[in-house]
Amino acid sequence: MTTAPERLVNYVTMEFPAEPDNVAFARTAAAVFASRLDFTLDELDEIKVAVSEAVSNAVLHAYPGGGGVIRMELGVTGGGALKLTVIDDGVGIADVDAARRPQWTTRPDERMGLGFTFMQEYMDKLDVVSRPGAGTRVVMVKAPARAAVAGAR
Amino acid sequence: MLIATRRSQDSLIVRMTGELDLRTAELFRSEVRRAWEAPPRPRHLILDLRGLTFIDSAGVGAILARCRDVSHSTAGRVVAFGTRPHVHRTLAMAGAWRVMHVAATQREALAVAKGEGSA
Repeated sequence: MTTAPERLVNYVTMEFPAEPDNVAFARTAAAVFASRLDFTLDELDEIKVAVSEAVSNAVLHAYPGGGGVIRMELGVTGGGALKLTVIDDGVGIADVDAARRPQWTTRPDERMGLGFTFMQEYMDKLDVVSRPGAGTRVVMVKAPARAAVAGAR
Repeated sequence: MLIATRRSQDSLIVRMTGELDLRTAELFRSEVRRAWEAPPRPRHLILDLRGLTFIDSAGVGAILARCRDVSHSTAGRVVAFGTRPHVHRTLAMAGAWRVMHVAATQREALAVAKGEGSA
């Protein structure tokens, strides 16, 4: 389930245990990687939220028995956009469309099922591929708005 | 995440410094509950968010749960002040400003809690 690196002009791949402690690390690492592109500080904050949601989902839901690993791939596409992929080998999501709707959550806790809403709002493109037992792969793409404006001139 | 609590008349002021996410939401929940239950019970909750540099859905959920607690226990107000633009926007996207008041300063927040402000 790895991205073909030849389609990216640059990339970094990392793996870490699915632990709450690693959520902050993942979003900070993604923001550092993304800061090489022409993102505004606001956009970098949006990227941090999106990564936090994807990784938190994997931490909370992928491995009910604990002990799982999350793989995060950070890439720059040929068009200069940021491509983020968060992959787990966990239990998967039976109904991805339902999971993407606001207020949906599998646990009666204080999270609101807003994770996918934030990912969708803050990134240009969100793709979720999941099957029960086969893990979940979240792919998000975002291009710097500034660069798009400059390129249109 | 650092949580500091203090009282001002019938308001509990909670100052949050750092990032509110899946990991730190539990500290926020337990610190606010502990301070809220210390007698004499406060009526309103003021959130000083000047130092809050990051929030995601887990953080938003933790804040909205406190709004429910306040609403159920005292029917008081929850007022936030000092939100950074991106924190403000994420809270807005979750509909948080429908249940929480917003103020520019702590003084204004205390006035809004007492029902003297416009917000």
